[in-house]
Amino acid sequence: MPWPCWGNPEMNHPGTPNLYDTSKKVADGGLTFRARFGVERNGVNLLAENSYSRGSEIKDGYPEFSDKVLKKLGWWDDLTAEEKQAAEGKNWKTDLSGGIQRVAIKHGCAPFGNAKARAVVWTFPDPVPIHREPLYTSRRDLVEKYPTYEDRKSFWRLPTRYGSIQAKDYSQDYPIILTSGRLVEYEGGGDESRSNPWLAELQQHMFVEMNPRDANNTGVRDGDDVWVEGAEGARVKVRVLVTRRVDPGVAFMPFHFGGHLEGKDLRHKYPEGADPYVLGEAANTAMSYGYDSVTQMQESKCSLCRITKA
Amino acid sequence: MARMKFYCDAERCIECNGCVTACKNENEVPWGVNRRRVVTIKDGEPGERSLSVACMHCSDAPCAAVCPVDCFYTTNDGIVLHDKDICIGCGYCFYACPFGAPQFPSDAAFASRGKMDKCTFCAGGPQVTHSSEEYTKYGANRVAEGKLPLCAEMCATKALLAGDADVLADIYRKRVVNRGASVMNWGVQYKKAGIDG
Amino acid sequence: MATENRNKSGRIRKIVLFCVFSLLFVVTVPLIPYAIDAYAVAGNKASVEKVAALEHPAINLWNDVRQRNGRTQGLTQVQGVDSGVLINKAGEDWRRFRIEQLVPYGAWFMGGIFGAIVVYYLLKGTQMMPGGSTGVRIPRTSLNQRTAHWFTAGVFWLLAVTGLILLYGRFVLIPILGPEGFAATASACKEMHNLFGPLFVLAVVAMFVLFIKGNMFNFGDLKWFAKGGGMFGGHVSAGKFNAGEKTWFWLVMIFGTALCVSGLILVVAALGFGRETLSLSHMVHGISAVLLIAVSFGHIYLGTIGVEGTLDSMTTGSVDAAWAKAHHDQWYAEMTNDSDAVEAADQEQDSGLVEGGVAKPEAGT
Repeated sequence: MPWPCWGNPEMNHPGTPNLYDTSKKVADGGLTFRARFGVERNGVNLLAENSYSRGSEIKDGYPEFSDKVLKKLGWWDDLTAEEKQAAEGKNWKTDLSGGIQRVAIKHGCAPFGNAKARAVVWTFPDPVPIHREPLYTSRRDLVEKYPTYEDRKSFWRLPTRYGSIQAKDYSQDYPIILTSGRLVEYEGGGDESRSNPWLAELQQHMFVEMNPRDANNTGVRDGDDVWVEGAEGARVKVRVLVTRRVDPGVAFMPFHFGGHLEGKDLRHKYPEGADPYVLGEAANTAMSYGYDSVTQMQESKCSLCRITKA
Repeated sequence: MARMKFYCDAERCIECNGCVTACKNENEVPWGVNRRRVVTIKDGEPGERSLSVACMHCSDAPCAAVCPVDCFYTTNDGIVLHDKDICIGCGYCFYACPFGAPQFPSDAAFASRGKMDKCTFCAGGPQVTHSSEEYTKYGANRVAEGKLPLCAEMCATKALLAGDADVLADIYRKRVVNRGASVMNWGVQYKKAGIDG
Repeated sequence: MATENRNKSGRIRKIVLFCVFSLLFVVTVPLIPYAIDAYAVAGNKASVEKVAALEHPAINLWNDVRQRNGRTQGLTQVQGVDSGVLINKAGEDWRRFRIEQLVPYGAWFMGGIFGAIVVYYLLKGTQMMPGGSTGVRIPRTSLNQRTAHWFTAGVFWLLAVTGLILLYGRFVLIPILGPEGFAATASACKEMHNLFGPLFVLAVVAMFVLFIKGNMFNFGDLKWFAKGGGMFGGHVSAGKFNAGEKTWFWLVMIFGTALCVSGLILVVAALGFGRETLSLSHMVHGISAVLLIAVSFGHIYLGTIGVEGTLDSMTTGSVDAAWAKAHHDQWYAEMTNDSDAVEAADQEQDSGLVEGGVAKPEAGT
């Protein structure tokens, strides 16, 4: 069932196939942007202006619904006696009778309010997300315009490098942009799904996707083995998949593999019976240093590499 | 009389291999034997399309024509099945089949072919219906339970259809009419193409 | 008069004109719908072309699937032989070859040759040695040669019988043995055929090495062919091997090699040849086998009941002088000129030894 499907079963709400679709009534699956962070900040209105879903009786932004809002709007008496009892002192999330939601939707309003779609996170280094060039980049011209952060001495108590890495140009030695991602057959690090024979059979080799032009320049054909060497010198031995899915100058590796390290098969190190059907190089071996400025999650999407025939 | 068929809609198939996995799960097919596979044409290029293919349960099956021991038979539902007790693993059906449906386990002696295995339309085999022998040799018999093959039932985009040929033809015809010009012009929704469907 | 005439001619002109116009009217009016239709078609065509300009992104999908634009291999996660090919074109060709050509024509060909031999034998009977046995033995084959011959013959017939059961058993043996019984037979045949098949490679190599000498064609063989090998009477001259034997030798070499190569491709499924290669190999294998089996009928007939005394050369290794003189006069002349050989043969005869292997076997060959 698409989310959200409002109210209790008696309401028979159809669900919301597309979020924030104001061309439909809320009762028919339309919706507004949620008023999640109050109504104003620094004197600026956070609620929607001149925007509302179809059939809304409030032709403007509005906060999320609660007993007080209903009373102020004069809609409190639309609740049944039982609902009133349940809704007293509650908002749309905590009113277990679903009455607040029912009444809001009856008047064409989204129970969670109607606010502007804005992202301002004042606790983040960038309150509004901006582009910052990766630490290892082939676009040196963009480094000046979109530099990364300064090195941080204590980031979750760890010294973390940013600018000092970006300052050095690696793009001459490592000309190909390296990115990574997931496959439909595997999940996460892949240990569980590579231990499932039905899934493992569908992806039996760790691979790197290369554009035909790069493959030609490297002198490899589809199915050959190559060394992908990350900008920090660690390298992985993987099989080439030549495809136009990646642009010239870009290589892609899936991140679901593990069990090989720099060309060595480490199957014998698994406890007996615990080794997955399929092993392969971990993409992260050749990925970059670099951590998210908030969560400290590792950089796994943008780095540089050099690919040579194995 | 019904004639059971598969149809794969190339405009819908997203190459998720869900059908392949569903088949393996339902029929407990061993590693190396794939009753169904998804093939992508023009992978990574404009016009890329994927098709899921298995035994197509031909009306005039070439495998049955060339089998030296005549182990194939067609059920009343038009499903082409074979008898593994009679099959000798010669591989002739593999040469003749246009779709590459016949599969051979490679565990037989002298690197020769074992007994052929192929899609049964989830209709089991000649053994007693729902017996353990039938399950071990041929996999599930969903048709006897009034169900369709699991690959088609599992297909998330309903690209892979299974059922009576007439019904499938009707469904596909409706789809083609509803799509109209929309698939010709990338980005035009059904609604804007003047067809709400 | 003149005016009257003019009036008259004017009226006539009016009548003619009226007739012409009414005729035109009658003819053109029914054409109007066609004209409208043609106009509409032209308009439609324009709009159709406009739609066609929006090319479907997968316009060539089915051409690619059906391999109409050359061999198109798709990408698939399923590992296997040809798993990227959606529709294999070669399969249909192979099926038609096997069902519509190899099975019926093979049967007619092999049966026809066999029948012809039976008829010939019934008409002519065994060809006796002219003048009867002389008792003089001439060594013809070595022990190695005979071993190779019978090894080849054994393997050949084992493979021929098992192969023929696989080819024709469905039509001939299923009614007799029943499906289960035939399945067991066919399975045994398949395993034997695959297991012993590679021995035929050895056989062909051995035959080539041991029999190549004397089996090269020469000019005299044309005459032999021209006279039909003496089948219809008359004397034909020949060396150690006549042109018929040489032809048989080279048929075995050529089609035997074809059988070996195609057979080896077919037997090891693990080598992972594609279906095109396999079905082509199968065609070569079938044609070669049917041909060799059919011609072998003739070989066996001539070597046994067809011509008296021939079998000796492959059993004892020596032949009667009369036989040699009749069928291989040039070789006989060589052998008799080579006094040692004849003497040896004579001594052998005197001492009661007929083992060709004991006499100097290679002499004169």
